[in-house]
Amino acid sequence: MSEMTNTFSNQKPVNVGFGILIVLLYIFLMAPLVMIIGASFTNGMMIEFPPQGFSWRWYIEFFERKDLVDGLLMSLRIGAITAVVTMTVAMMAAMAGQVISGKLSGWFQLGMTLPLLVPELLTAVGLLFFLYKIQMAKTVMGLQMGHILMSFPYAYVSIAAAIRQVPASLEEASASLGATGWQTFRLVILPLVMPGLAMGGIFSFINSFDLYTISLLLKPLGGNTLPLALFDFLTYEFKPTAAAAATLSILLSIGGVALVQKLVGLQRAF
Amino acid sequence: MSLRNPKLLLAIPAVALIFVFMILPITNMIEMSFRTPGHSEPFGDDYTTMHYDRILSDGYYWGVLGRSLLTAGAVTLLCLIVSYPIAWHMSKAKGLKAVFLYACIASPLMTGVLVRNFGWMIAAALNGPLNETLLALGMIERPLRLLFTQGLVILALVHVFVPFMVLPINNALRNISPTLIEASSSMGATRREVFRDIILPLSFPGIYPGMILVYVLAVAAYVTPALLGGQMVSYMPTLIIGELTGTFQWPFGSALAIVLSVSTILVVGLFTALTSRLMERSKA
Amino acid sequence: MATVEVRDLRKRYQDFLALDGVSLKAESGQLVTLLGPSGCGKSTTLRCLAGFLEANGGEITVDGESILGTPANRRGFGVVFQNYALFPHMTVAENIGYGLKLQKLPKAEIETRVHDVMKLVRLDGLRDRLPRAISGGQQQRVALARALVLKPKLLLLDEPLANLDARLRDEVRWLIRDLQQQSGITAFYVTHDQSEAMAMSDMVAVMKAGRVAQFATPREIYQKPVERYVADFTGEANFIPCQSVISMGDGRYEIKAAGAKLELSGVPGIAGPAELLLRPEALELTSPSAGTFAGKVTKSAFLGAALHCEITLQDGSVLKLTAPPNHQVAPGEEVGIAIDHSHAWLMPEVAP
Repeated sequence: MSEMTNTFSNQKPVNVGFGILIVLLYIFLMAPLVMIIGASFTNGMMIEFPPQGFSWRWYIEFFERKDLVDGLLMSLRIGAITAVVTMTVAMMAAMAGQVISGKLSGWFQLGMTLPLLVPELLTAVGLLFFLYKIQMAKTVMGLQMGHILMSFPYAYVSIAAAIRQVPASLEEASASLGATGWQTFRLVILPLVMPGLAMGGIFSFINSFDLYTISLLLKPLGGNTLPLALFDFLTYEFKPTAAAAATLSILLSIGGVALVQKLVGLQRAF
Repeated sequence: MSLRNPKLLLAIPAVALIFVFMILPITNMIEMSFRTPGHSEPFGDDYTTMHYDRILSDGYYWGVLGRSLLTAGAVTLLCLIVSYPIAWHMSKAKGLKAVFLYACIASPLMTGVLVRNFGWMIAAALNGPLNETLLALGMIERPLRLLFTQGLVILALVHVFVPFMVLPINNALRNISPTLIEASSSMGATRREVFRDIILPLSFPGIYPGMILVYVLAVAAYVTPALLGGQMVSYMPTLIIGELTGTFQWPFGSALAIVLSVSTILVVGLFTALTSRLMERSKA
Repeated sequence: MATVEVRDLRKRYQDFLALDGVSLKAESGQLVTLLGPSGCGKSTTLRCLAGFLEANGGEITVDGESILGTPANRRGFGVVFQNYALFPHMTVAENIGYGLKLQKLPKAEIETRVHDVMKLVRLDGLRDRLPRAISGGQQQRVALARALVLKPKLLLLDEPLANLDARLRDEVRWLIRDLQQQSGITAFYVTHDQSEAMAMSDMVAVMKAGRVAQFATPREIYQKPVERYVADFTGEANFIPCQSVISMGDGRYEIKAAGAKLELSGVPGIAGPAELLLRPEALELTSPSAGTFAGKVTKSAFLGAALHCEITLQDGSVLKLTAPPNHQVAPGEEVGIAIDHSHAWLMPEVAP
């Protein structure tokens, strides 16, 4: 029931001006995505917006390009493994985080989100040397570890938030009814944090799918992720195929946004 | 707190992951920056401070460092200017409208930096939409070369980081009780005064982390300058990656990365010191 | 000092009618309380007065002039909020001085006025503290000082005591009333606590579903309510349905209720079914033959200062009464009940 109306005079003109500003800002936010999607359907030979005519030819061309498709498959595979591993590790860490209290808890949270707070470039450079030292340089396994590290905080933040919502009394209640620790986890905790866990997986997957700098430095011999392949393609060829590839990537993120909205609601997720 | 709680053991994989694959490697990088250059290997066996001497005595590196720090500063400020109205508008929205606005912020956030930068390549083409708009508005007479300019790098970086700024500010604004606005208006404050005296200071707990995060990420951003900056101007990240992957000068590359990190920490520390009083007062 | 009049105020939220024609008047220097349960429209009325809400109809005048077109920030009213609404990033002194600073008064004058008002509400020594570092009672006094320092024409208080514990509530209540009377400011006070309303107000408006059920002095509201809703909301009350009502003119009636015949005062012009209102303190226990009513004690509880009894009359109605603490009654005992006729009151079942 708290709606504000005439708290201030001179409301109307300010509102109109502000409305126009907001629309312009949202156009700024969405324009690059819209242009890529538009350009991917062009019938011409150049990447341009607005597109010339309409065709699916660049999508067909994309799937005929072995380097790009290999990159896509590699990204999907690394992303999937990253999601599964980070979900498991983050779930465990979040449960441990719950029994840490006081000042230490803040430090633990900070530590768990470190890969998000330290620029990717530094982590990537450090990892490059480290993998070299342990003889994992230029291996898919090394790249995979980098992706898991970089995506871990996304999974952790979502899952920890979900676990915090579960009252500690539920665990005690379950134990008092005779459940073992594992039963309590499987039958009480897990169903309650499922949406947060799934959301963590989605964020983790999408983050891995989008990573560039770390992939560039840890690139395995003979393997490219989609962003790496796309960068090379943009540098050397610059054809609308790139727009088709980028559109697929945008669709993936829009799908992720929709899933997150369905699972926990965007407002709570961000 | 009992450290004996068996649940704590569950943290071991995560702690190991972060320690082994992040803290050790970054420590390792500090060591690497003091190594002598290698000949057949990327680094030598002895220790030296020559890389730091070289960076600090060469005006070229000072210039690149300055450009990186200043560009990130400009990006951060522009980000704040762009994000604040969006966050304000978003903080007022409810129901379906709020969901839509969150989606508009989240979709770019979840799209890769490379893809979004590619969007700006399309926009900045000689006969692309940006030039068309400027021509139509009569602001220019013939199309400008926008691609591979510093301006485009800044624009694209602002676009990349806006969601990082919008979300914390939006949260801070949502935490401001509407009665505070009513209280100040009942005391005679105009709309402008309410904003200046109440809303702006009380949203600082959102502005501060937003600015720090954007600055830190912008200083070290590699993709955008590499894709949109062209060959003419260098930024620290492009220089560092060049040393590491192009010329394989690992010790020198590490020293550059550390100089960049230390300068970033100094800037962040300075900003924190300057705003500590405001932050102390306005935090929830 | 100002006379404030609210006439036929209306406010609608989408499909909910929050105010359905509210009319009130505060004479200069009066404290008028809006009393009612949540959702009755008391806060909405106050927010319309403050200018935070725009009414859909009706009129609000201050000294005869309409203020509906004036935005909140130019009304010059002081508002005290339930959650205090102190600016968390400003010290106590900055909070209090904020309105003066907006008026661009010289620093020295702001300083003295803030100093004086802080003394008045006994906040000396806290000037450089942040709101979160002082107690709830102190926060409330800052809120009060912040409103008073601007010498407002009208003081609006929205449940200012609701967030305080019982002991503090009493203290701040007297402080508010004292300050309001000393300064002679006209004030509107919103509360759902009838004892607060009784103790502080010159006039009370009991509100019901967006309307004013009764607007009168605290004494009248309590002793001469116009309907059951008002009687119920203003204190412990017993109601006995009347079998017959004969008007004797001038607000006097002769009635039959629970087997007794009584002559008493009531709401003028009752036509339909009526109820007898008996406050617990109007009743006295006597021997079974001596009272107006006879009945059986069903419950009794010793409360220290008094004995609370429930007595079931022959017709089944239940009376609650307060007896002196040393009176001996046991459940099951037959008793008589004497009535203080000057405290009995007849009301229609539903207000006309």
